[in-house]
Amino acid sequence: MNQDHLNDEQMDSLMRQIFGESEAGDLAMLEGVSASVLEQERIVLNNLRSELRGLKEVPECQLSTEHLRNAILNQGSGSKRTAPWTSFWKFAVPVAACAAIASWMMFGPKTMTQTGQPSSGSIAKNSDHVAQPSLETAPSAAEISKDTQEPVASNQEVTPPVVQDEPEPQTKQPVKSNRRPRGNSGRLASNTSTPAVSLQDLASSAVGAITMGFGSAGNATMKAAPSSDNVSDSANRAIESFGGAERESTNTDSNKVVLVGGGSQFDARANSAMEVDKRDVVFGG
Amino acid sequence: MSFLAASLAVAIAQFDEPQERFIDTPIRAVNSYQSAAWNSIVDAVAVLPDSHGKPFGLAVMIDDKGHFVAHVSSLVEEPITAKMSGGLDVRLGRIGFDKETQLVLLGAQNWVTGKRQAVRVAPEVKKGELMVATVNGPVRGQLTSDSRPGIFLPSLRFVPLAEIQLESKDFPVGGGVVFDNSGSLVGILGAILNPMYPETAMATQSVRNDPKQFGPAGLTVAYALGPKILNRIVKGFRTESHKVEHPSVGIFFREGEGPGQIIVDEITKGSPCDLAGVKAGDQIMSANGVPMGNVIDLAAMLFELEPGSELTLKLYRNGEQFEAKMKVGVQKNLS
Repeated sequence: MNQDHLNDEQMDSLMRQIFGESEAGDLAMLEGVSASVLEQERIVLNNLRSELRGLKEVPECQLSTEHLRNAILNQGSGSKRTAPWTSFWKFAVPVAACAAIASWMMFGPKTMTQTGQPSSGSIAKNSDHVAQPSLETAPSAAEISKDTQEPVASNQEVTPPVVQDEPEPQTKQPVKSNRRPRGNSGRLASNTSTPAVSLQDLASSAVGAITMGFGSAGNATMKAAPSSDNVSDSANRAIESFGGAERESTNTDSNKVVLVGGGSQFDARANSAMEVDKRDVVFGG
Repeated sequence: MSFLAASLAVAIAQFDEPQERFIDTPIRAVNSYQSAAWNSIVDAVAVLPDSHGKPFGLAVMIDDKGHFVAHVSSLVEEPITAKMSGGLDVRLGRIGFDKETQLVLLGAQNWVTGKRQAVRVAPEVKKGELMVATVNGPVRGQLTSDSRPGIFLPSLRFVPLAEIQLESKDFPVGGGVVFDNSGSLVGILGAILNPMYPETAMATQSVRNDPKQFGPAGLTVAYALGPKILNRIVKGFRTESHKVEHPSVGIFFREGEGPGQIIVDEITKGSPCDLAGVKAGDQIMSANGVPMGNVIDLAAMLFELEPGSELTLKLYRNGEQFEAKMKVGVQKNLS
């Protein structure tokens, strides 16, 4: 019978594991605890750890004399001399701004006072005038969508998997750099000598996943779900596309997993879902 | 449209707020294609009341025998006297429950076969506009992904989710039923993205200096069980036992320290993995000959397995590679 809650000693043990200070016997202490309970506590503690890490007020590079020394050696300690002609441009911009304001003060208000209140026709004309350049110069959402999505689509269909490895370091980087030892680091002591999955394997995996019809989140070039990091953008696109041309999301944060069941939202009468990093979640299967 | 309005008016007659809001506002937001789709499925939708008789959730009919599926969040008390279009009252009772996905099978008492036409579950969902039936009527939705990797607590089971952005903010969307423009069932809403999780989601974001935003007001990001899992559930519910069989080999795994590493976290005693000799701490290299690039790849593959099929895991332990062969079981046997 698995425990459905952690006692104080077990919680201390789990915290030591999460914060990389595991002691002998910690693993044994957690035996018999329900995996789901353990996972929920792990998520909370992992997030606590992440939050604590985010509390650094002063960047490390400022504290590190080593970095400071390197910066001085690379960039020099004296102030950079600027070319004489640059001082002209420093003044040119404010002067131009003043001239613009002055001309507006001279001519802009006069037209308003002459006509009293601008007619709706003139407002429409002005707004057209303002809107026109943005229509001409800014690429349309469809164009942006086309630019950003076509290569992905072509990758999915015909590009060899080797090409898909290109963004891989981005998705794998956090694993290398930022992670502290996990609670099961003792159990995984031999991991440093174990072979990491090669790029070739990953490429094969991508092909396999495509064959299976999955939008595999582990391969960044594959069509992945929009993450909530960019929900604002996604939402805007969604609004635009309601009643308009169909557009797909281009967000590809492949490290996020949607965790469902962390409480309910009564107003919405639905479970809460939150996005968590896939490295902080245990998968069951 | 007038018929639809009349149906909804009957169904939601006891709502506190003025009926005009529910009749006009949501329906106006749906385009002509979706209005047609709504008209085609409205006879298969039942409005479930709360303890005061007010509309609370929805159930959708999956066959002509009077079997309805609803998300558990749509139920307040049972048995239920649900209301259907045309003023039809239906007495529903729970006859099946899929614990993994929280979907409930309800059976109608004294149901006359052929009285109503059931909805069809689509084999897949295509990106684009969708129609979400809520207790307040249909609202528009936009599918932004048909395969968000999702994990359900407390089972930790991986389920691919459909991510849908709804053109509504305050609607009670839980248990909402999602249809495509042809009127086929493509999902049932189970959860919405919770922006009020500063101690978790925000903490994750703060590390990356990437503040979380949830878009303009008036949009809700919701997650639905998509056609893949819905078809499995409906198939299970339609059997005599009304039980859904999810494949399982009794393994829990997580990402390791190195890139692409998949580490076995725990093995359920007596499970196929346990019997095949897999142990916690083993590194999984491939499954059925397919190299696994990350944990989601493996989770997705395990989700696709058929109970009774063969699974071969290539593992790495203490400097040696070995294989573990097993027959895929079902989740119910392990719980």
